[in-house]
Amino acid sequence: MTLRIDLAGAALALALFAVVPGEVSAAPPVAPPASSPGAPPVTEPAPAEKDLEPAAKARAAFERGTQLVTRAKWAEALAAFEEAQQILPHAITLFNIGACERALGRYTAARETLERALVEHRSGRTTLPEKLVEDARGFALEIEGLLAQVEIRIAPADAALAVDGRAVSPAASSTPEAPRLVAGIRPPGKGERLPAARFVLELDPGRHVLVFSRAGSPDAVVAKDFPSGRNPPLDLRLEDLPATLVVQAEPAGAIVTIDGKDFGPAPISLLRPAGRYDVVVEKDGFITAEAKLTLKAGDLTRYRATLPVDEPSVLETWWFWTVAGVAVSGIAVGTYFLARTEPEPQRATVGGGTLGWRVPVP
Amino acid sequence: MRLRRRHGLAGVTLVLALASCELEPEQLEPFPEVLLVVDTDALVPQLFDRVQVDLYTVPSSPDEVPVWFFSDTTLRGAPETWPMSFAVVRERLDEDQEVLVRVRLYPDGKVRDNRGERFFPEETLEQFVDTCPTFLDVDAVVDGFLRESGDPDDEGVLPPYEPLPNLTIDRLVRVPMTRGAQGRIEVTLRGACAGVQADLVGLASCVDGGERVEHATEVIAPTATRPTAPSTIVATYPPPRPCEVPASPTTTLPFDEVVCVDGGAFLLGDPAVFGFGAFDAFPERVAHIPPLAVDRFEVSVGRFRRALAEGRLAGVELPLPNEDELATTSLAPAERHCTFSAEPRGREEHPLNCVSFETARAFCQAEGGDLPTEAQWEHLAAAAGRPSQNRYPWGSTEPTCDRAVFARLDDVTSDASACLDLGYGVQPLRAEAPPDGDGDPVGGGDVTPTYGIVGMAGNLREWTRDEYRAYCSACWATAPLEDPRCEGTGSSRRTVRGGDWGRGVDSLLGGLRDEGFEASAASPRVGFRCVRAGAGGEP
Repeated sequence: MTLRIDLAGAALALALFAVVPGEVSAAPPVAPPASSPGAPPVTEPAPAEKDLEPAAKARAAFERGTQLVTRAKWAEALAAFEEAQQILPHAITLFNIGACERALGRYTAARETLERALVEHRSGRTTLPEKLVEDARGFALEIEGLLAQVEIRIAPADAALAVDGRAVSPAASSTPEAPRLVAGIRPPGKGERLPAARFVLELDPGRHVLVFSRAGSPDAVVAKDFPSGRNPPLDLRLEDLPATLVVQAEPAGAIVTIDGKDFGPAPISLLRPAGRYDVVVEKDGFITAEAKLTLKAGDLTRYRATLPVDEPSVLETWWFWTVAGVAVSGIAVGTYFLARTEPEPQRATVGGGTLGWRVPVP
Repeated sequence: MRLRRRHGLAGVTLVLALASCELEPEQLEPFPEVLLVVDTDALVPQLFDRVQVDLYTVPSSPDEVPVWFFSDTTLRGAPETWPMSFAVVRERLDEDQEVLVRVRLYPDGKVRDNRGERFFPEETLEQFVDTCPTFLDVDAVVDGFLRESGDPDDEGVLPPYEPLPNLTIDRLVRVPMTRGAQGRIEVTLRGACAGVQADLVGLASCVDGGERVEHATEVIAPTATRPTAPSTIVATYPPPRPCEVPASPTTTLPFDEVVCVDGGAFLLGDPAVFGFGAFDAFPERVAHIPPLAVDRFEVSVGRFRRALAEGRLAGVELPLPNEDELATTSLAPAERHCTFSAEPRGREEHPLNCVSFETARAFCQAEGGDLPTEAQWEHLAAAAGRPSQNRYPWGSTEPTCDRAVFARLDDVTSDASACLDLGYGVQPLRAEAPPDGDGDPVGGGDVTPTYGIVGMAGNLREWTRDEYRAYCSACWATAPLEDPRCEGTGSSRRTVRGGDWGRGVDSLLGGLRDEGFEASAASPRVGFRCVRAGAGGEP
């Protein structure tokens, strides 16, 4: 029998201890302050007077970052380097930011930052020492092996995805045929629409919360541990929400009919699948209101029918109809006996059954 | 006002009617017209309550496909509204025509977009052992059927929804609309056909259970319609199967009780559960579960020791022993979390953990039963003894720390430590009174209604008998309605169900499927309970 030790907490703590001391005792991956970009080399023209202060600030932040690295305070060091980069961009500062992100386990971000450092280096605006170029390439390779990858299929495809409260971005290796997305790079914000119904997501190993959202569907939330390497695929289907239809009427008590079915007196509120519906609101003595409504999944549609009073005319008075009835009857009887015609021919029918449906074949 | 107008018109009509009563109207040849009378033996409204009717014209040439012309749905949740009937009429007397009627009975709300997808044929399903097949995305141009295009203004493309095939009784009937044909066709939707999707292209559907059978053209009774009698078969399939064994044997050990649970039918799976393990709890399916005599509690250390002392477990590998106190932190070695010990160490009323699938199953078989199947386990945890299915074993109330044993890990970075204040690790068994009927009181325990089965949600996950496969895989897609299970696929992993002391609140959902465990592995988080046949036959 093998004992399966699945005490997540213990495993996590051990993993952290294995990584952190190693990084500290070995040569720090961060460039030493001597090569700080904040130190203006004497061969370069002296910066203009107004630029001196930012350069000094950047240098101070960079040196503070380097100090923090020696004490393994990676998060604080990262903030210091980011401050330096903000003031005075430099390939070495970028490299240091990437190294801090790597130490903090933010591998996707580290990979992207190191790539930016190499791009900056190749552009020649600011450069990296050869040692750091090699390190940056080495780290990027190492990170490839550490990332978690999961293939996701989602239907319908027009969903938005946020991972840990951040949108995802396309990976460098992404193609339209095989889209690859990366989590953990973008700043916090809302999810964005996915490029395809089937894609591979690259994440830092560990627990993440994936939120798939789509208008008209309840959010699908996947909270799960993603270990390094290939993860089992996720197959998600966002079901449509029903639409809510509220029908109100003025005056109250008017009868509501939807697609020919009686729903009783207004106001009514009901859930229906999204789609088009014919709504009729009627009450004796008032002019009937009719509407064709398109209900969208998840939305509330309110239909307020104001029925104008059906003004009584001479046609609405009892004496008119009584006189007219007698007169027409007399004429009809007379006419009938004068010109009696054959009755309308009839056909037998089976009726509409218990559902009342009598469906004609086209 | 309208009333008065009607008075006048009524008078006119009356006079005209009187005047014309002397002549009989000429009787014309009737149009072809058929009343479809649809009855069912399925469980209405417990499992099924909505009917969708789709009508197609069948072309004379075999190269063409039926053309849709009508769809509607109706809620038929009241058994007294069965059988239901509706008429199809062809208001012409020219050449003969055939109409294809598709009637589907399904649980209200269980629909998907009508994208025209079809299931894989069963013979190709066999290759999906570890993975899920997606639906066959059939090209609309090829099969000619209408479907949802995604464009709301596209009026010609209807209907936008269709019932989930797994949960639907799906029947096709071919109706000849020939001259002189006027009468009724009686169709019965059989509960035994649930989950068998009809084949619109091959014109085949399940008629009386299991097989997809091409339906011969119905013969229409030449006589006129007769009155429709109330249904005598609705909700008779599957028939009720009461549990017939004595509820609890006499025993001297605490927490050794058996509950007799009636058989029943329910929807296996929960569409709200996904992303927790490698596989999700959908697609849902219908499952019929036989009556079972079930352990009220997870098997205790004391029960295991008694069976050992009585010599009933000869040759069975023992659970991992812990000759120390129970661990109070996850930094302790894993075996310190085990409850079993060679000699009693005050943990006889703890549930047994650190036990392999083989040992757990051997124990249950020695007790005259077996481990429950996944479907049996979920029936107990979500459906048995309840008017409707629940998300949690006790009902629908959201879990709290004092209700069930969960989130008792000391890893403060995760939600699996939210209830650590109440004590670390596995907890001793605890008697819990079941809530009344479908009662679900706040402050209640981890106990099911009616039958009072304790600890299905928390404390230890539980071994079940099935091999671990996705619900969409061949093993489940071809499993029968009756007592479905997944065995014999060659997997060494077996499923475990329920939550445990070291997992977060999500793990307490009754429909949650966990990743399988190697059958030979043992975990401080996994225990088990046994089931026995509740009335003749195997559990």
